[in-house]
Formats: sequence, structure tokens, C-alpha cells
Amino acid sequence: MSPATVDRETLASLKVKAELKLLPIVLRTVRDVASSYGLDESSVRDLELATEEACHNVIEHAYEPGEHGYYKVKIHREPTCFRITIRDQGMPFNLQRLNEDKTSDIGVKLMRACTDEIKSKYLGKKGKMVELIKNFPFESVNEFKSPPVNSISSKENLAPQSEKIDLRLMRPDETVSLAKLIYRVYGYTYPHEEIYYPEKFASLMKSGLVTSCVAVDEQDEIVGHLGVFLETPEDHVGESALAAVDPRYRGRGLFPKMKKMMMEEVAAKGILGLYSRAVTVHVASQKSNVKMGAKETGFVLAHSPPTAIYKKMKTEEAKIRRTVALFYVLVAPDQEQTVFLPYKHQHMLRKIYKHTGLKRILKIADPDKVNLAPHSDIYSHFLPEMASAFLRVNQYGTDFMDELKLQTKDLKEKKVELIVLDLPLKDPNTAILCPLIEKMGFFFCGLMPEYLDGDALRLQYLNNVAFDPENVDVYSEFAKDIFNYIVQEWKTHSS
Amino acid sequence: MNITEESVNEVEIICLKGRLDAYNSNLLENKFNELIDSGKLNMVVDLAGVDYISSSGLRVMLSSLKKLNKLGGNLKLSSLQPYVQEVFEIAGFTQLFAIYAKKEEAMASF
Repeated sequence: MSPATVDRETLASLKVKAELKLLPIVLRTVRDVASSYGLDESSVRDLELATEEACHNVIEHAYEPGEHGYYKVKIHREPTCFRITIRDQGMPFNLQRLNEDKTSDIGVKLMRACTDEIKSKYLGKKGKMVELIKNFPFESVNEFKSPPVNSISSKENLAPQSEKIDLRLMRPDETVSLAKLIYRVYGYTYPHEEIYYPEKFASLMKSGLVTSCVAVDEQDEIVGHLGVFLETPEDHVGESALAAVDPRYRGRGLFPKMKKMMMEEVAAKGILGLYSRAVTVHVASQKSNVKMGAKETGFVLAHSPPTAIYKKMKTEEAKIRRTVALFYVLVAPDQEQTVFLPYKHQHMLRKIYKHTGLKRILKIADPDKVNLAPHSDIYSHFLPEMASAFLRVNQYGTDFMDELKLQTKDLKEKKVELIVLDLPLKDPNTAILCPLIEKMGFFFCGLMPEYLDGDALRLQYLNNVAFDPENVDVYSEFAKDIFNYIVQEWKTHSS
Repeated sequence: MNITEESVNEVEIICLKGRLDAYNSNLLENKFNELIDSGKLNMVVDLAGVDYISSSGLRVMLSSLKKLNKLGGNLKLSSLQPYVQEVFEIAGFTQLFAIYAKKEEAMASF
């Protein structure tokens, strides 16, 4: 997958002396850049105001009078949002207050109201950083003038078998038709919220983060869909998701045909494998994954609220979160690699590796050989609608445990219910630090092959979430073995 | 930012034009202080020409309102543009200030 196809770039970068008289230049730049890249006037003003509040904070509080301090402002454009980062190396102050539930600080109130997300981070000796994220104002499918038709479910509505169905790659201009199909099949219950915002989904397609294939009828109307999502442009594996077949066209084997097509398509782009998250309220999805040759590699307990976008729309009452089963299937020849297994989980990981058939040299790390970089690199993807966060460790630094504790605390304050943490197994530090991370309440939930430039150990954290193993339907015997192990781990670490 | 003022029936009318941000809100603060020091206690700030206000501008308004209230005076606002009105609402300031659609209405309320 070539990163060049991904539309994510830094548009401007400024280093500014922390003086009030230079603030208008920063704000003018934010305004001009955001306007030039098509942000509407109201969103531009929001971004400008949030930036002013964040920069003014630095100017007022980060440096002593007479101290010649500087701060850096970067403006990034991503497929679905603008992101402004403000960094300084001045006096540390309490970044927590940006996320406190009730604030009396007018500046913080305005920053929150004017952005879709605020992230803040201490960078050790490099100072501190605040990120302001403003999503593009996409139009939701429910705002389109012609409302989607009601759910079609009866067998008597099946299309004639003689009708010819073709498979092809989807075009970005077809996202409204796709959103309507998804609405017919799932209502507003599909957890990838982007799908209900056709322009946002089109933007993801253009950026290369989503590739889709569609099944179309003789009128070229979409009757089936399967997408592959990448979390970041550098990923070696994609997620096979958004599988939907119009109920009138079920029973024709469209799903396996689309999956086969997508496996070939992404393999040609350099992707090594596909993972998927199958629901466990029934076993049908797990069964079809097994049929396609995908292998079970774990579960994420209490993964998705039954109401994600639906919660926002208040169309369904909140119920318990649903568990998903993790599957992986190779789409390109496997490459041998060395992984270091955490001592405690080595038996289960060996079983999973054997089940997947992946070629790996399995080692146990030497706990005396800890080798940490000066700083950690933890990538975080927060999904407010899912009350979930997905963290990836790209590098362990000497500040790792402090950094992880801080991020966990921040996320809990944001009322996150689920944190998924992926750790690189090629790095012996994963095996060495795993027991310490588990002491924080994280617990083993599976293996994610090739997920982090190599395989990842997946841990999860549940923040006061009810979970009942009895509500989970597991298809295969092997999956039951993994599931029971994970439930045992959950019991150990949640007590 | 451009500040003009006129006095009508013992009420000071301050018309603002431009941005009320961290950089120039001190100009407005100085103007308020100058008027208060000269004994003017009833003021209308007309915001028809203001299309941007940040927390710095809001703070100046609030501190001057408090100062005037203590002295038995008042500060009323008029002609807020929609975006500025929204900022006042987010900050909870619409409950603190008397806000009028036109400056004439604000003046008549004294």
C-alpha cells in the first residue's frame, strides 16, 4: 500500500515567539489555510477561536515574564478532519482541565464547543501538546431528501434467480446508494459510523483508507457490499468489514464471492492479510468466516455498544455491549518472523499460532535485557460514539508506563468504556512489560497478526462495563477454547 | 478594532467594529476604565460591527459589568451577530447581560 495515495498532510507549520502581538498572525494563518482547503466559514471561525484559546493559554501561562519562549503550531488536513497541534516547552500546567466534565473556565468551554475532539499530552522534556480536531461537516444519510425504504425481510420479496449480478470495485460517487443499502440491512445499528455520512465515506475511499467491492443488479443498483478498511496508511493488514447483502439477493453466495474478490484486490496492493470482527449474538458470521478459511485469533469482550450512532439519535435504549470474535486470513504468502511471547500467555499464543498456520520463530524474552528508547510512541484512536479507544504501541520508551497510565486516566475521564491496546510482539519489551500492564487492569484478548509492522498482542481494558459470558455465542471448538481463556483472564483482572 | 462613543441622555453608547480577541480586548478595557473614571456609569455596547469574540473579549465585558454594578451602574449589549450570540450562549453570558436587538432599545431601557 503506497502512502502516497493517502490524503493526509501538514499544510502549515509555524514557530512563534510566545507574545500576544504575534497571535493575530497565527490566527490569520489558521483562517487562510482552513478556508483555502474548503472548510466552511462557520467551521473556520470555530477552528480560529479554539486555536486562539489554546495559544493564548501558552502565551499567558507557559513562560515567565521576560523569558523568551516559543511555541509551534501545525495545521494538518486529514481525510475527515482538520487537526491543529500546539506545542510548547514552557511551564507544565494541568492539561486535565481540558477534559474535566464541569468547567468554569470560559476559554476551555469555548475550545470544547468549537471542536469535535481535544487531545492533550505531556511530551516529557519536549514539553506539552494540545491537539484540536475539527471534523468536516458531512451530511448524514438521514438528512437526504428521499428517505431510505423500510427494511425488506420477507422471503416472498426474493429477486428472480435469472437476474444477473455483477461484482466490481465501488466508486466514491456511489456512497449514498451504499448508505441506503446499509440502512435497509442494518438500520442505524452498524458500528462503522462513517457509512451513514456518504461524503465522509467517499473521502475515506479517495484517501485509500477504504477499498470496497459491490454487487450490482442489471440496473447497476448496489445490492451487496464488502469493504476493506485500513487504520493507518502504513498498515500491512486491513479489516474486512461492512458486509451487507440486500435481503432480496440472499442465498446466492454473494458474500464469499465478494470476499474472494477483495482478497485478490488488496493482495495486489501489498496487503498481507485481512482481519475481521464477527458478532457473537449469533454464530452465522463466525461460521461464514470459518468457511472462507479465516482463523480465530481472539475476542474483544464488550466491544461495541448495541447503539452507537443510534445512541446519539436516541432511537434505541442503551443495552449491554456486544462481544466480537477476531478472525484473520492470509491473502499473500506468509513471511517468517521472530516473536517474543509473554511467559504467562505463551501456551495460548502457541495454540493460536498453530491454528493460524503462520510461520513464526517463537522466543521467550530475557527479562534482564530491557532496552527502552528515550520516549514512547503510543498512537491513540478515540471513538466517542463507541465510547471506545484503540491504542497502538509503536515504541517503548523509559516513560512508557507513566505515559500509558496517563492516557488511560485521560480516556477514563472521557467516559471511555473500552480500551483496546495492541503491543508489538517482535519487541521483547512487550513480553517483559506485559505483567506490569496487566496490573493496571488490562487483560489478554488475542493475537493480531501483522497488525503493527509485525504481529501484535492484543490486550483490553473495561471501564466499569457489565459483561456476561453467557450472552456470547461461540461457533467453533477452537474459538471456545480461546474464549474460555479470555473470560478467565477477565475474571482475574477485573476483580 | 475601532471604538467610537457618544453620549445620549446620560447613557454612553460604545460602538465596536472588528474583532474582539486576546490581542485587542485591552483597548476596550482601557476605554471602559476611562469612562468609569470620568463618572459614566450607564453604558450600551453595540456589537453590530463585531463578527468575532473570544474569551478575552468576554472577560473584559464581564469585569466591566461587575465594576459598574458595584458603582450602581449597568452595561447592556445590543445588535449581537449570530456567531457572537452563540459564543455568549456557550459561555453562559446571556444570563448575565441584558441583551437587546437594537441599541435604541437598550438605551430606552435605562
